[in-house]
Amino acid sequence: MGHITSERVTLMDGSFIDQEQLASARRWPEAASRVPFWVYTDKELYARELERIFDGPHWSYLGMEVEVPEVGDYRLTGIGERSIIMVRGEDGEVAAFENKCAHRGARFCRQKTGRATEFACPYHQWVYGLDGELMGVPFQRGVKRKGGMPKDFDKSEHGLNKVRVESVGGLVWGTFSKEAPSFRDYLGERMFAHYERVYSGRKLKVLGYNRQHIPANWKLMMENIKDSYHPGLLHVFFSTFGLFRADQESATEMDETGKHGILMSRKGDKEANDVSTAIRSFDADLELEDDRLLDYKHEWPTPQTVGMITVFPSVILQQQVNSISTRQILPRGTGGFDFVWTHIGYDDDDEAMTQRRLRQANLFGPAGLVSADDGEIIEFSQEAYESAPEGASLIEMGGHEVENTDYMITETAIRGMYRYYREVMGL
Amino acid sequence: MSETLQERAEAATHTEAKAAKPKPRPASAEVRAAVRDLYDDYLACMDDGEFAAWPGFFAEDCFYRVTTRENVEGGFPLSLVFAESAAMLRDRVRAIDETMMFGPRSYRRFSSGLRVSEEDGVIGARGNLLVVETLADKPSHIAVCGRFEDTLARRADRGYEIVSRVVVLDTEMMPNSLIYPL
Repeated sequence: MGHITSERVTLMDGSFIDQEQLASARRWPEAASRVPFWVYTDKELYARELERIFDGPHWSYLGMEVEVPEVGDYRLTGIGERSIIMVRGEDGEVAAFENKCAHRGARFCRQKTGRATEFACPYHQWVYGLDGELMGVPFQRGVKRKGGMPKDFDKSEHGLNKVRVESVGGLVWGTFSKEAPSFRDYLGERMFAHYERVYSGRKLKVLGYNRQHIPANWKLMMENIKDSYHPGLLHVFFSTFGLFRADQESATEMDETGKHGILMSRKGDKEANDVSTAIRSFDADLELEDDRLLDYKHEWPTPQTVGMITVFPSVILQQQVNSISTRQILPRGTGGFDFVWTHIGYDDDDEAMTQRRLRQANLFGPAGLVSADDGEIIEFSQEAYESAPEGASLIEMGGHEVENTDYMITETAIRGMYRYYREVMGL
Repeated sequence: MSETLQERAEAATHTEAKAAKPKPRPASAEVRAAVRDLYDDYLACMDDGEFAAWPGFFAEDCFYRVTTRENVEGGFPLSLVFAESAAMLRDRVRAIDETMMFGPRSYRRFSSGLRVSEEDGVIGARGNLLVVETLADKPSHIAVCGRFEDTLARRADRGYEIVSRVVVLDTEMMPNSLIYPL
């Protein structure tokens, strides 16, 4: 462990090894139920994550069909650290390409949303169509036969970096990879069934956005939602009001690879029992004065009241009581990520349901009575890893294996993600 | 309340539409002074961390919303914090005290450009808000920057209460969490 220069790595004892030896310096601990802290801090590893995971054969969340309803409507989004323009093309389909001019690489589109007939980079006014093709290069043939592009310059070879797009159940997904399977196959049949429970094709309605920069490695957010052990403990609000507690009917499932997961549960009532007494912070006397905040209405085809899906690597699909949102993860270096929440309802929701969703949104986001806890705790973790990356997490709840469970006190889905991660990253 | 929540949110936040209207009439010097006193008390209470007293500044049937320009300009009703009664504000204070987990910090709120208007007995107050956050062992930083648009009413006994408060943040990317009320 130590400081990395271009050719050699200085270890903490002052000795150094060259880059070829780096892989061996980064040896995973023997047990599968350990995650070394350097996965959250190592810059070389992070570069490899961007290349193999975010630019690799994985689908990233881009946005929603309803965000770009008309031809020319666009919205800025991202894949990894790349800025992506998602746009409704002339053919009525959603397309996406990188927000990076093919000429000098400027991130030219600055408005988060808008309607365009074309995209122009302000630097030298190179113009692109809604399909990302290069349409115009000012003075391509020079002025008075002087200057200009070489004769063999071919505009068709210099469009914007295109993203392969699939639109599934109202959400839009993108990848740079030709090798990635279809989105449905990428999720796997089991996870796809969970996906369709919320994203059935019923038209969505955007209720609004919240954004936060969380000073922690992006993987910690994925892990947080795969960790079914924490919600009833960290989130006192959940356990106190019976929204999520260890004795409730629940399950954790993964796709075959372990990279995606879902945490399901069925809410109970506010009650003190053996489980609540095990939670030090449980407060039986706590009551809401205005309980409209917890006015739940069941609207799902299955009895579960919570379905938190992690679609590796880019998004959490939240259905927690009547609050539905996508939480997009955009990594920003080893020690931080932007977390973009899009809260939604269905287009045919009645007014009462919209109000219910908006009230329940108080539990989530940067000021969320529940979610603020998560941003804080993973910041605490990251701080420790940065100062002492030689340790490792102990991920042994529920044993050492990766398997679907019908209980909550397990860390199986975190082990599942790292089993997949190690394979992709060659660790 | 017959108005829908969205109508209330829209009425309180459609600043573009408001801007097109003639400027609201400034309130009398007496009202302006009394409202300034109210905000001085409000900020002192909040900066001292006396959050239990915070809901007392509001009418029981109040409307409170913290949101971003992104949502207001896009016409989206989502908020960061949203309450439809002083009881909901009290619930949030209890949740902050008893259920939420966060690193110790203090907020100091800086308000400027207060303008107080009075039209048909409705008192409006607008101003800027800058919140500096200080976490233990870290340098102070700006947590959020924005504006507030409030309506106030005279209390039966004395003084004023906030009937509606909408804080619209320029800051769209929160530096991690927004814990305390604004």
